Amino acid sequence: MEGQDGPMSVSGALQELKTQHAREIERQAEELSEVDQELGSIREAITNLEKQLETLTKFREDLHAKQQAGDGVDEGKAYTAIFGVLSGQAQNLAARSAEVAKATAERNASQAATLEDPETKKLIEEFNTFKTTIEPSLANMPESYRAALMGAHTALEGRLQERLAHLDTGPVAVEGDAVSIDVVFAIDAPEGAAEIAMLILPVRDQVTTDWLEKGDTVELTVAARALEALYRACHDLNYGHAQAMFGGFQGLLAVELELPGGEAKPWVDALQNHLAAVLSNSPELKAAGVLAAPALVQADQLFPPEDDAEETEA
Amino acid sequence: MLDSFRPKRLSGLAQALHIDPFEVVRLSVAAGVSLDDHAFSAEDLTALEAFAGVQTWFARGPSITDESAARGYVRSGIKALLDGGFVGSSTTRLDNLWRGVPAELRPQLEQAIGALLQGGDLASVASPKGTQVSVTESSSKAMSAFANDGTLPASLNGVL
Repeated sequence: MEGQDGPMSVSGALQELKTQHAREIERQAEELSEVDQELGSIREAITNLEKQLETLTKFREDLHAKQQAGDGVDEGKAYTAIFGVLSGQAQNLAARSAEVAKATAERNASQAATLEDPETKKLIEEFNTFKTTIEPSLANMPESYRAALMGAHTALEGRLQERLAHLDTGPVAVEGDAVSIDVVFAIDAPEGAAEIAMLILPVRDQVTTDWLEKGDTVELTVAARALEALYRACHDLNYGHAQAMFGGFQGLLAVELELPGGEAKPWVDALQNHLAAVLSNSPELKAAGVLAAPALVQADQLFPPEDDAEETEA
Repeated sequence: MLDSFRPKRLSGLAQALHIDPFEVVRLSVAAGVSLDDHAFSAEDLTALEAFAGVQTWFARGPSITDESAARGYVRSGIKALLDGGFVGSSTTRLDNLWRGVPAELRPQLEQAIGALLQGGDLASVASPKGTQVSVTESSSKAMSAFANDGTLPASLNGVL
């Protein structure tokens, strides 16, 4: 190896190589720094894009939820419309219920008149005597005597049953236009999992207590049939220990049932199907001329609009 | 009298079972009793009574007399649970504890039973037969003392 002024020494040559290597390292470090900067920029861009993606996804979900929730219908207006219709239907149903009760009382009075036949009266008297005077003291009688008395009483019951077989206890049919009602239901699933089943019936809320006095009214039948559908749905979905809560809401009977979670759709389908079947097959509702059908709504449409709720609280 | 010869309607069956018609519907679905025409035979009544475990403990008043009528009924109810062996996993219907109790005493009675449940002296569990109740094993001695001697458990302080 030679320098400008002649051959370079070995140490000089090695020093020159070291210097060249140091320059190379410095140049590579500069390149690495540039690459790191570029990587940082790309990562920042990706982060920004991810944020945009997240924002847009959320925006889409909200839009989709709104579309699903109300089909574009304002919830407050839907609430007012639903309860307005149900209140009107409840009045019509109460009127029909009163007509059926009147017709039933007339039928029963007419049947009671047929019991005036002397032979029937005699059998009834014997039956009542057994119930009031003999039966209470049966336990104190000798076994053989008791068996003989019971045998005679069973025979008496058989004869009475034959004579009373014509007595009808079934529903009484009434004339008049059909009364159409909706059984409104919703499955509340705010976080995606089914939390509560809600039913609002066009039935006055006092039905929960006045059955003791009024018996099987058409209103009681509508409520009982709706509950039957709810419990059949629970049975289908392996939720047999379910127990619904009842109460008045806007003067109407409201039913709530806490659900075990899971998808809402099976509950919607099961309730829809059972309500449709049970309500349309009920002989009592057919005789009363009541056409009842399920009506699925969104759970939010069954709560008062916020403005109204605030006014109520104030 | 005629009711003896005719099927019971829904409200009649509810009255016979001392439960409300909606509970009759729930039990009928669970027990497989037909609801086709809301007409129920004597066999249906027996089947539902047996399925649900409906019992009327207080038709003739409480078995234990106490200066407080409500407390007498609660003590009698606890005694009935203990006598029936309804301790731990052996249960009976919760509403057996107040079926047949005069209406004016019911709220106080239900409040006391609620306090016993909250205090862990009684335990309840949901079931297709209806809400079930039993005396918890850890409280059986305290409940026995309450029923037999009137020693009030801590959970009923300020309630009865």
